Amino acid sequence: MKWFMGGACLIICVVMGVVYYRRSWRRVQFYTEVINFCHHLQTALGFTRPPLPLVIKQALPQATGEFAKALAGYGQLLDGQSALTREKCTALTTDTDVAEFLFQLGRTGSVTEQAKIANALTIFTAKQQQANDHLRFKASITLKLLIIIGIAGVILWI
Amino acid sequence: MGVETWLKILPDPVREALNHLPVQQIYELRLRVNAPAVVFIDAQRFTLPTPLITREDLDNVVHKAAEYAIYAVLDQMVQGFITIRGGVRIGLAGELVMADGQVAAISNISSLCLRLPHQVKNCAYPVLPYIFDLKRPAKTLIIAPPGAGKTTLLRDIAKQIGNKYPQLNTLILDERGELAAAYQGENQLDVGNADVITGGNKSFGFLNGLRSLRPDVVITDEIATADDAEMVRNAARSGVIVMASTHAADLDEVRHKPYLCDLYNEGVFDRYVVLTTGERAGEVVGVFDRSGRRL
Repeated sequence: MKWFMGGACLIICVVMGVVYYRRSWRRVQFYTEVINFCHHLQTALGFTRPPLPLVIKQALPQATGEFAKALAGYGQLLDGQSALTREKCTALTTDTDVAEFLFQLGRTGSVTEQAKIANALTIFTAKQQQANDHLRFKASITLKLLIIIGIAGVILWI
Repeated sequence: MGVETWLKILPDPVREALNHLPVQQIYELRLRVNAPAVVFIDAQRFTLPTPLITREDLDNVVHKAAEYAIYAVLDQMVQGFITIRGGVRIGLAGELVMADGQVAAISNISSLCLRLPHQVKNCAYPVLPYIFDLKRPAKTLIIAPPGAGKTTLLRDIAKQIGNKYPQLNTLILDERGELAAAYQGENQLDVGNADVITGGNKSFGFLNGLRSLRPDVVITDEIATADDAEMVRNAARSGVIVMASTHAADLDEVRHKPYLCDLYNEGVFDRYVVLTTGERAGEVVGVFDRSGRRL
């Protein structure tokens, strides 16, 4: 029983730590994907200026994770018959800046669009840095702490 | 051209109201702020039982028509139109934003006019005996007011040239994307075996097309400015057969338009085809030779 309780304590702590760490890691990945998408947009708008649904289709195979899902949903909204609204974009992702960025895409001339993308890149790069700092310090320390607590729990139970 | 292409961009109530009409026969749809939608079928006007159109509705239509890429169509928008997939041309009315004496954008769009192209197969048959009576097609100007079927006729002439003179290279300068309605490199409407330059302006098309595509026949829509007329004159003097259209009620108006009268006096065109408008839109009123004599 003691071994079982100790083991359970260790597993719960490790799982909590890993979940927390993965969430932080996914956040970093999310912004990395957003930044990649912005670079893709810059290239597309700088030369051939294709329709936005086509840009999304081209960007989708390279995207992964949470942002890929948001991008796929965004592509479906663009292909749909009803109007694209801010609310629909907000439902795609929890990050309001990314939602607003997607909502505002393609509404102006190419010069303004490029400026908007450059501005968005600055914001998303700062957010990625913030998420990276969080991953490297807070999430990493939390994971280690929870592992130590789990081990301490095992020792205490035994 | 599938109607779903342009139906898709309309506000939901308008699309639903159109379900009860013969959509294939609609040739014009008008959306105005604070007014219900209006359609034209066979020169008859129908007001749709829709709620009043809002400015947001119009913005959404424009945004969808541009495929969420205003950056790709801004050059067209500043000229007052957008051409969408299938050759549907959307005329824009609103407030012009000026910068350095030129139109930089159009804001507060207050009305849209969707003109839906129709491929009327063999509609050029009545005029072919007059313009194909020589070894080569005659240099031809099609004259009619807006909405009389000039583009439809030119499109069919392009196709018929391909059938009758397969040895000739035909170049279509489709400035507004209405003749061939090319979308991502594919013509949505049948223009036979012709090279198509879409977008840009006539000057670029004429100069570069003549240099690089070695056309025998150049077909272009709407000679609207003195520059257009100059390009047509240059092409005709280069030994190229030019077929074009212009807005005018009859040959007499052409004779009195500043830039067209010069083309007439210089005998740039061998044939003038005048079309009628209204309920008999597209019907040929008369074909005239270069001296203005009815044939």
